[in-house]
Amino acid sequence: MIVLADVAQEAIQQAINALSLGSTYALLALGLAMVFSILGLVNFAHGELVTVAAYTMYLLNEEDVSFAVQVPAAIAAAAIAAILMERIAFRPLRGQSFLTLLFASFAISVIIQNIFLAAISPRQKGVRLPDLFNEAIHVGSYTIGWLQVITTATCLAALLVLTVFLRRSTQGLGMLAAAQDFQVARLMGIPANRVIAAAFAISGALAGVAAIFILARRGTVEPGMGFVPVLKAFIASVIGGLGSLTGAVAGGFVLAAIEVGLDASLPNDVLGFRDAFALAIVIAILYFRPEGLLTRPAEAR
Amino acid sequence: MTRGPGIRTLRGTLLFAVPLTLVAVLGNALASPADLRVIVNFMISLVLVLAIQSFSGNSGIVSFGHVGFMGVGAYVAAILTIPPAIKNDILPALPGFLGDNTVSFIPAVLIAGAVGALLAAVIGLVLARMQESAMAMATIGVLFIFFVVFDNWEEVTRGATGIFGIPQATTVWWALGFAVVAIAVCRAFRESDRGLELRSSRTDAVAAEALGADVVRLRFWAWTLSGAIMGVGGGLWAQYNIAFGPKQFFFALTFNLLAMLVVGGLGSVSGAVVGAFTVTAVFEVMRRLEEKVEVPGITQIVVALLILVVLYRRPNGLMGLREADDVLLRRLGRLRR
Repeated sequence: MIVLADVAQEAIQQAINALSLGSTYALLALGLAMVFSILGLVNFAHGELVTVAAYTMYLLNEEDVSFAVQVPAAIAAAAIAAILMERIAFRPLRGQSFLTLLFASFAISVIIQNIFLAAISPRQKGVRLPDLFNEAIHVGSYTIGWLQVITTATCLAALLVLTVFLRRSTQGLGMLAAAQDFQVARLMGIPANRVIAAAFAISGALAGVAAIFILARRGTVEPGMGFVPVLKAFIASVIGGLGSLTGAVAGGFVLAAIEVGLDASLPNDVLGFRDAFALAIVIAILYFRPEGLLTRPAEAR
Repeated sequence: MTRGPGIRTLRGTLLFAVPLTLVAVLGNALASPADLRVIVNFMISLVLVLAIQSFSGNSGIVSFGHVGFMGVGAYVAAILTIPPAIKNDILPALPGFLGDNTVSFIPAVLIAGAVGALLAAVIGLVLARMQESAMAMATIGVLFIFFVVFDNWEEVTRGATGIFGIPQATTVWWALGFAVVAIAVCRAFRESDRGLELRSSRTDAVAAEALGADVVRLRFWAWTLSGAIMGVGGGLWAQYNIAFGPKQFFFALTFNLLAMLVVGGLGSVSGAVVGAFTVTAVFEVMRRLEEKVEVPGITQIVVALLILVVLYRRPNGLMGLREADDVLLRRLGRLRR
């Protein structure tokens, strides 16, 4: 019985880990999917929105600004960065091929990274965060980190707000329509520039929210910090089916479940290969479902 | 214009072989050791860029994963050529026959290519079936998998510490030779029937299928071919740069190689060559400037801006979709009239 309880407890603990990790992936993947579904652009520079938000917190932290101000400022900074990115870099390229857009976003990603590298430092810089993030709650025999609780709760709340916005507001419905078929949506009188700007703003804000938790987990900022998270988000959105919004969220949780599962089951001496195993599983999933888990072949773009 | 693929390949190869040979001869005779290094590394990067062009240029699918095959080629060449005395010291866990034996330059490069091709084939079996955009994303996963393996497989790669002691066997002449062969191979593939079918799928995969092209299979073979060339390039690179670690086969290099391809133009072999030359030139000028003004990262920013300017002005790159020799001949023809 005791052994069984241990197994169950272990499983629940891992499920909580997967949920909090997955919710960050989901936020990033959702932002990517939003932009992709409307513009056909896989935004490589999405990770740099995380970096912008994290550095905003770092700079405010240096000035001893309170955490309650840092958070909205970071989210706003990421959203503004996303809007600027679209206005300056992507608008002149609108309608170009998938490849051109991808390369452009790749170049923008490198530019932003190197601006931080040149302007602040190539090295990691520590950011002091509220102590709460390091504390844990004890419920019966379970120990849950506050960070995990807050991450999961915030991300789920953000997803909820976004869903309500997309389903209930005119602007949101316009965006959903544009995500399904941009050309037809335009013919129906949905203003292209506004929808695209809104998509970028939302993707930036989501990246900003994710950035807070990514920063809380690593405790430092560095110019290349957006790379691994956005890579995970790419993978998550591909698992779910590129361009499907629900798929992106689901993909985020699936990827996190795979990673946490591997962490728990791999022997220590091959643990370093975890990401390789995770990606191999993902590629295997794609082999059987080349269009992703949630997209039916007919609606693939 | 109506000449066969053989003539066109020969013509296109010669057009670049002559100036490249000139650069090699002049560099060998006049350049300082540091400048000669730049020239040799330029020739090696030509092989690498052409490898990516042979897949991405003809299929229209970008690959971020190719540097992984280069890494495979580099590690294979290293393990095959490091003298046993050093090898048994730094890689004691290698199986005996690998630890105690070495092969010479050319076999090492060829085996590097073969292993590159083999791994590309295994990965290609899965990837070639995917949609264009999903495949492009999956190649990022491929790059990451290779990096994680290089970084963690202590017994074979020595992990993050890196590997050293490779004899420097790649000379400027070998680099030139392989660059010219790579141009010829990539051009021949482009001009071949299979290459033409694959290029037709670049504009419209569904239409190409309807006309009888087996797009999945074409992509698979192009991917494998480019994996082989990438492995060869890695083998050459390792035997020139003699020491390296896993970080060298990751995003920084991927970015530089893709920059060359985008600037010159993905769609043609000429584009790859011109792009490699342009980006190397910009890179070298900026690197020297960066040392003077001491702003780290400025080189990367300038290269990235160069990509953006090219994408805005000429989305198909400096050379566009046509080969330089075709364009030149057409111009000449017009002049004669």
